[in-house]
Amino acid sequence: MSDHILELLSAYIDGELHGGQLRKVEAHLDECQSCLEEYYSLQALSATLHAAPVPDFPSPERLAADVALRLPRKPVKPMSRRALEIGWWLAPVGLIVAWIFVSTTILVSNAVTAAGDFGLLDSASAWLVAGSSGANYSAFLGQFGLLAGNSLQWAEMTEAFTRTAVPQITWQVSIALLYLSWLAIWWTRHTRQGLGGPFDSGGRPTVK
Amino acid sequence: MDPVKILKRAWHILWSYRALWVFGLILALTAAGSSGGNGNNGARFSGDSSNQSYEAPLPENWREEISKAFAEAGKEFSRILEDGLPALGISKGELTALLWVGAVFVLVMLVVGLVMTIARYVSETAVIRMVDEYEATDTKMTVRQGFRIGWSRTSWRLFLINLIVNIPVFLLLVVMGVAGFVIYTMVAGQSGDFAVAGIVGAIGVVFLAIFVVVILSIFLGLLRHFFWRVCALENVGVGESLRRGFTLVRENWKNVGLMWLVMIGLGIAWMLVSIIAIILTIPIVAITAIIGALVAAIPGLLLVGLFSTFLNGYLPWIVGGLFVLPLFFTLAFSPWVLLTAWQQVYASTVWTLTYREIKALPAETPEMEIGPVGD
Repeated sequence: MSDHILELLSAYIDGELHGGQLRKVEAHLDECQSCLEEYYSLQALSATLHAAPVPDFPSPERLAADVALRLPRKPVKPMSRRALEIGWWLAPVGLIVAWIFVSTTILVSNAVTAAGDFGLLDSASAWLVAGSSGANYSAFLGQFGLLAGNSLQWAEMTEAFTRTAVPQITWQVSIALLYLSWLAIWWTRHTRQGLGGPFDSGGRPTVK
Repeated sequence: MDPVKILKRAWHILWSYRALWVFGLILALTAAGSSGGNGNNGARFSGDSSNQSYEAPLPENWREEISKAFAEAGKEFSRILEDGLPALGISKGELTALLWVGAVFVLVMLVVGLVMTIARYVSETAVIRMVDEYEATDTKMTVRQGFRIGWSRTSWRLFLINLIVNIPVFLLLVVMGVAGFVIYTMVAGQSGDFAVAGIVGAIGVVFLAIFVVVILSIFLGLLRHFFWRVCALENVGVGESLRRGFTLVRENWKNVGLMWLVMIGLGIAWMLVSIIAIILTIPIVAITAIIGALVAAIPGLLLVGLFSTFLNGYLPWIVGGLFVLPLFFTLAFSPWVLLTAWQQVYASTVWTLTYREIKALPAETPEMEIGPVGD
């Protein structure tokens, strides 16, 4: 008895055999009863499967699109609210830049004044540092004898201090207070609303 | 990320983890002002020029005068070396001894500076790692263990990172030097209006340089927190720390920016609080000053005895006092040093927690394109 051809039956049923293999299977089925029964059995199974309805599997692209559509979406904020929000976050940055600008101006101004007073700027000093050591009210009063000697000197020093230091302090304290106000408002909003600001993001918290 | 939660957690760690205070004290003594942790160490008011108007302008030929003054000073110095200072009762031998003592003093200060720099970076590493370990495993380390994890190659890397971050400041000095030279050339040239225009231009350049460098320094100071933490907690080299730290900040710039704004605000608040605290603790400082004087008196007297072997009169007392002055100041102002130590530990802890929180956030991915849904 020849060898059985069970391993070729599936391909035979699907019509995938050609030439010598096809002739070999057909010849074997004519003379082997067990293989013929196996052939009928497989043919019946194939017919059953073909007759069954095909399930409607979506394509991967379709599945991804469906999932994305079901995810919660960020509500679109109106333009005015977005502008307000950007302004809210730009305010402290603006204050920091303003503070740097004021500090730099004061620093350079003091350096120029000092250089002018030491005569290092020569002819340019009159134009650059005008008013730094010019006439003041104390000197004006001194001309009329209202202030003299040590009193005049103290008055001039106090006036010069008031003229230079007080505006500098006022500027910097104002900026600091504005910044602290922003921080206080942010803190209050944050504590009242919890998370929900524009910079909030999810993720696993590590802080206990 | 919840900044308030981080701030509260850092506050809790500050008070419950006392071993950190030791490293905070080292940081306060060695690094206060340079790693304040928020890029804003308070408004510094420039000295006013109120009394500058009383300075007499230099004479017309001031350059010649200065050269002559230098020559005369040189001659005077040679004469002093030859004769000593008879008016002050200092002989030639004593003057030589004083110069040697001065050289030793400078050497001691250099060694102290080196030790303090090493201690600073070891402490920075220790605080970062101790806080991270506490958050990860809930275990507190002892001071000894802290020193052990701080004493590593990482502390050297932190030093190098700090050096790189400070490059813009060096560049500023170069720009200002060039601008100063330009101003000097313009004035020396005596070319009228051209000099004025040159000076105004140079001042503009200096202004712009300071403005840009300050902004750049603040930004780099912010990045440094992350460079340091990547280096200390992921144990990578300097280049890799810079790369990863920058990527981390870029990918989480909103969270980092918010934390930075909050920390600047806290820095301002801290400045106001510390002014009040300094005023309130003056009586305590008076007591610690007495204790400091008593403690510093012991090595001071030993030094006076040593210097008396080759110096006479009041000189051993002055020189001895000079050597023990740093010790006295450290002890006298210890309450204020402690305040700064808390601030240092708190700021470092906040940034370590921020780093951990950001690392735990899911990586931001580009939004998926959603195509039309067909049937």
